[in-house]
Amino acid sequence: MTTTIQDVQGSGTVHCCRVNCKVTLSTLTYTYPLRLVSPRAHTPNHVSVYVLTYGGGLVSGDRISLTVKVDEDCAMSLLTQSSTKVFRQRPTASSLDEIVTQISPPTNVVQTLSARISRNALLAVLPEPVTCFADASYNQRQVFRLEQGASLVLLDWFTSGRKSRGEAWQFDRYASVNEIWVEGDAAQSSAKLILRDAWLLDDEKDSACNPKTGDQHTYKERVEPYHCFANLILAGHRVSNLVAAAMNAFDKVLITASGSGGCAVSSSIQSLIWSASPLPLAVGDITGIVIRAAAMDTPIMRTFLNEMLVGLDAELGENLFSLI
Amino acid sequence: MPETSLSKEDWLLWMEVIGGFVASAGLEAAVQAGHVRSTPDGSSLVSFVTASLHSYAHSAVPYVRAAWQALDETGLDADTDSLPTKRTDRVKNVVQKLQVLDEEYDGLTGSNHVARRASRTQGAAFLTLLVRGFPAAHGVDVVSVFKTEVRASRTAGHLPICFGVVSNCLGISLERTSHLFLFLHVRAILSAAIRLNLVGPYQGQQLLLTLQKSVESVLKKQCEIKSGVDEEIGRGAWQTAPVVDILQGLHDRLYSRMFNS
Repeated sequence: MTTTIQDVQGSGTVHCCRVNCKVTLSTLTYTYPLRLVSPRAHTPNHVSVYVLTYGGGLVSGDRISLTVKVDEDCAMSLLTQSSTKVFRQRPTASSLDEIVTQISPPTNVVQTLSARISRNALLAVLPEPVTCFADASYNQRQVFRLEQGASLVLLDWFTSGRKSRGEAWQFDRYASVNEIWVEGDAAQSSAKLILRDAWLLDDEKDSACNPKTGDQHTYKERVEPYHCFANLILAGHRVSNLVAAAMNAFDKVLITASGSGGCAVSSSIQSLIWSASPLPLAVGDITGIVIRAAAMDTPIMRTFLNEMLVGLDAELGENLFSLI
Repeated sequence: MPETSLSKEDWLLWMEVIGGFVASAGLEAAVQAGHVRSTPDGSSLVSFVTASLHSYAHSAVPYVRAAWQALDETGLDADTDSLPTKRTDRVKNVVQKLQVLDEEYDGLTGSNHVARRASRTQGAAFLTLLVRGFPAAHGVDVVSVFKTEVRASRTAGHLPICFGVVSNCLGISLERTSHLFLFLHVRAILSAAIRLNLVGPYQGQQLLLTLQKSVESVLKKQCEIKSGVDEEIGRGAWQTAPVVDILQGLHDRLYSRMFNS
């Protein structure tokens, strides 16, 4: 069956555990077009894994699926070398005959990550942003299962595309789902969903929703005037100082409307806006924060994210993200 | 059955906007942050409402529908002469389904504490409305039990779930329910816009009429949404307006404010 081949293609498994007081990877397997590289660790308590793809991007029809397990007292980072480029979607079956005789293979890109984090363990997912080229279709689903006392740093960000080439907000579809489940106290109680972040920017070409937009992609009005969006989730006791710092910073944000009369209007739109919400306290002792930000460009966003991640290097022993 | 002069759907429409005095769905923050301006044609406001409507249609409507159906599937009124205990069991069953939906939706709003807070407040108000206003409606026992669960903090009580249930109790069709839900959302934002002096009351009415078309087309789109990575979980619910979402999340950071959300 073709489905089994697809399942094998582009899949990877990482298992991070502690052997002789040192954090190591007991499993690191991957199949084409996925590549996983783990550079030599500089600290005994942290390992990092780079997620790479051949050609430095994802082409039409790519299926990447990664399974990660982080054992007790371990810390692991998942990184990418550069932005994840999603290339243009291959046109589907051209002639009618083709459509009739065979089901054309899916042309969108699907990337999934499934991670399990044990007690007192920390997983930091800090990739470079996803950049969708014109006509690209990208789908991402990341599911995190946290045991009691686990910690997670999750950065999920994307840009408008190749802005310097005038290719902004030209992709067909960007869909990203992040789920965080917390395991119950006792074995019999089931896991509870505490966060399901689901973002969709989909071009509804034939839609009558917005006749005035013309050539413009229908989602563009909902993202303007920004070019880079980020979701940063910080959860668990190992990053509690980061959570507290972010909450403090957000409490200092103040929007004052200048102008007079009932309709107050502030002078100009800020180059970066962000909001922070505490994670709903659902199960156990896991507290955290969800940060959302929109910026005019990627460097502005990167500066902001580095500010939010101050102190993470102390927990990991190194902060590979801020080196970029 | 004699037709009453005022249908229950009309009643929902005529009723004062749910949370209209306190909820602006992020509009107040958007105005103060300079994203929505007062323009003569109201185009800036229309952009905001359209974006908010699009996102709400894709995130909340799937739950409105599911909640409406939860009450229908079990056939609460199937055999009226059955034992009262059987009815109690069925009610319990429906309430459990609603709680599952509620928990899912709570996860979806987990990243925006302002929207989450507003949704819960308005949901609770809606349940109370039915119990007090229509004590003889067909699923009022379900609503009462669900309301007890909300009050005991065993479930969140989000507006889409409560709205779906209440509409079913009032005998409003599934299609009309989702339509009405979005229409009321648009009306609430426009009502806030009038209070914020962005548009006058006459222009507000005009915009409401124009935006009615957007409600219809966005609902149509939402129904035929392409299947994503996994539609099994999350009922194909998506957030689609990131800027509006961030602006709403900033609401508590406003130096001075009229609304709660």
